[in-house]
Amino acid sequence: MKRSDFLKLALAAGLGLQPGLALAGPEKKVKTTPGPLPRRPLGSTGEHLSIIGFGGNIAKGEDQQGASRMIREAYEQGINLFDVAPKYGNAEDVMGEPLEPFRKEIFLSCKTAERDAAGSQRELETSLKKLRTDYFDLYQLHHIMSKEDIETAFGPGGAMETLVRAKEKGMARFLGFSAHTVEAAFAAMERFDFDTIMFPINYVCAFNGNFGPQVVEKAHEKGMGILAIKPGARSPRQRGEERTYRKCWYRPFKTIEEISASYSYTLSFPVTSALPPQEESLYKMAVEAAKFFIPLSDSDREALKAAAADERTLFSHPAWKG
Amino acid sequence: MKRSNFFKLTVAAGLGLEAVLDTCLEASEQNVPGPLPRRPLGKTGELLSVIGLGGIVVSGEEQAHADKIVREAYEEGINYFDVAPTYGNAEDRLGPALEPFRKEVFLACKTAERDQKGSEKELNQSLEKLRTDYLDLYQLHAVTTKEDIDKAFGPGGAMETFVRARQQGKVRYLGFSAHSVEAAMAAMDRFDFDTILFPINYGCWFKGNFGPQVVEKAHSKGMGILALKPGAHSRRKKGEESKYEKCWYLPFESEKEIARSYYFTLSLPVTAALPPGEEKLWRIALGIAKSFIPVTEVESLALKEKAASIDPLFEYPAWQG
Repeated sequence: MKRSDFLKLALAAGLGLQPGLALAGPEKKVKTTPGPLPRRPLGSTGEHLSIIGFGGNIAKGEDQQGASRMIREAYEQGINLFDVAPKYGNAEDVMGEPLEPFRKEIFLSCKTAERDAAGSQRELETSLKKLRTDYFDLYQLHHIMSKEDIETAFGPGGAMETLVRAKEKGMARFLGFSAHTVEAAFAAMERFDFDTIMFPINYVCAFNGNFGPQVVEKAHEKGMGILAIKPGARSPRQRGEERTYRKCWYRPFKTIEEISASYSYTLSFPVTSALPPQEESLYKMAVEAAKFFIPLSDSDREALKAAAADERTLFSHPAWKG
Repeated sequence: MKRSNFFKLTVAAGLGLEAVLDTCLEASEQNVPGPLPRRPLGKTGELLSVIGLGGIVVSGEEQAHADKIVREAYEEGINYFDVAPTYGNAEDRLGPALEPFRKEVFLACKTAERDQKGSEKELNQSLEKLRTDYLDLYQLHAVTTKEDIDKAFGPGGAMETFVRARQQGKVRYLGFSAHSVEAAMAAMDRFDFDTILFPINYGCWFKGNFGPQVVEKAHSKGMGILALKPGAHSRRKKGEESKYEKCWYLPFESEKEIARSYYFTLSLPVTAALPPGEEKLWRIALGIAKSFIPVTEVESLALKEKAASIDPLFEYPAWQG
């Protein structure tokens, strides 16, 4: 759908796009100022995290100076969730130094995509060293997708042995996982009592892919903290379509109005934080939009459902065969 | 799985909200709540703290204590203050207490007068008592009956004062508070208000069918929605005494019950919630709002079940005939 059509539809339905509109309306004499970035409880951990987190991918490819500036700015904005992984290029290498001064005040999460105990142990130690810390606040199995991922990670000699041991030894305070299929998410939640889940939550996937809300209900019911990824994802790229943003593999929503609508949908769920895509300009708009957050009404949701109908979903359920 | 089956399964199971509340309400070194969030107020572009300070909290208090409460509220990030001439001496106390912060806060006042003359007189009195030359929001107070509507919007009615006051810069935005769905709908049909102040809690919402239609209509008109009675449980029984002198109904009392109630209200597209006039309850609400997380559909259904045994404060329909 064209942006103008989307807006028309959204406005007709009274969609909670006032955030974006408020930002865009300089003719108004506004007196009050935006509040600080809100925080929300992280499941039953007792922790409170900023509703927008800093995804290490944003720092990927940056030099030390650039990454340090980004991290300092994020901290000053009130962001206290910093998430990274060995897979994000040089992100771990450039995030350690700027995070060091406020390491104790922030919540640092990392992941491993290794599925066996030995490989994940090695990665954990390397990550700790690079990030100049002796503990992670959260350590996660990265990107659980297939039945095989589950079987390997949870089987004998699997990565879960590393995670459990890391928690016992104080190298990880909480344990979680990120998943990209509903099936893997449910399987992981059944296998282990995780503290958190990281999962794609956006309205195109929810309405067009039957993907997301069922995982939120299950995780929330278990008292887990929910971290939303791809909150501003629109659709996959077409075959041969070039990337608009170098670090973003899908088509993201780009305007402040679209981003406001998309994040409002995601943040109307009991998710603790949303992690914007790997592009600094989009991440900054997400921080602004989050300061203007107000939950959606039922008719807003209907409007988004209608808007989603013309989009292709990034993920869908079911994904497993058989 | 069918959606309905899914809901049945999870409603029967434990609720995530309970786990969150168990840890959030427990003070510990690890548990440091966030700042008080702000939300946009409809189309006005203004951003208000999700918890406001209702003038009744300072009514009847010594000036020094009123000053202390207002300063604390301001330092907590509260920028929304609401008062009315009918709240005892609240205006007299709030005026001096707010003076140092007047320009940084959003001050809302009301008039229960329905005619032009009476409301104009009240407006000028309120401005004087509140030590300011403008109000950020001026509201018709407690519009409830058909007569209220006909009088206020008819010739020589209070709305004439409202429109003129806005032209003169004495007030920035116009709104109303209502205590019946009928009156709220009628007022929204009659005038393009900026805001509505309305009782929103899950007892009224589910048991009283009171709230959903108003929230949808106000939100789709781009109005700012301010929630009254977010922690109200039920009517007081005849002869039953209240523990709280400044609260005419029975509020939820345990922190967990209060939190559940606020979480429900704040999961709707409301800008702010106004706790009751009791200082203790206001402080509890403030703490809860810093740990807010929306409820899920399943939790909402569970609250609906709880509401079945509540005698709600308000119900729809309320008007006869």
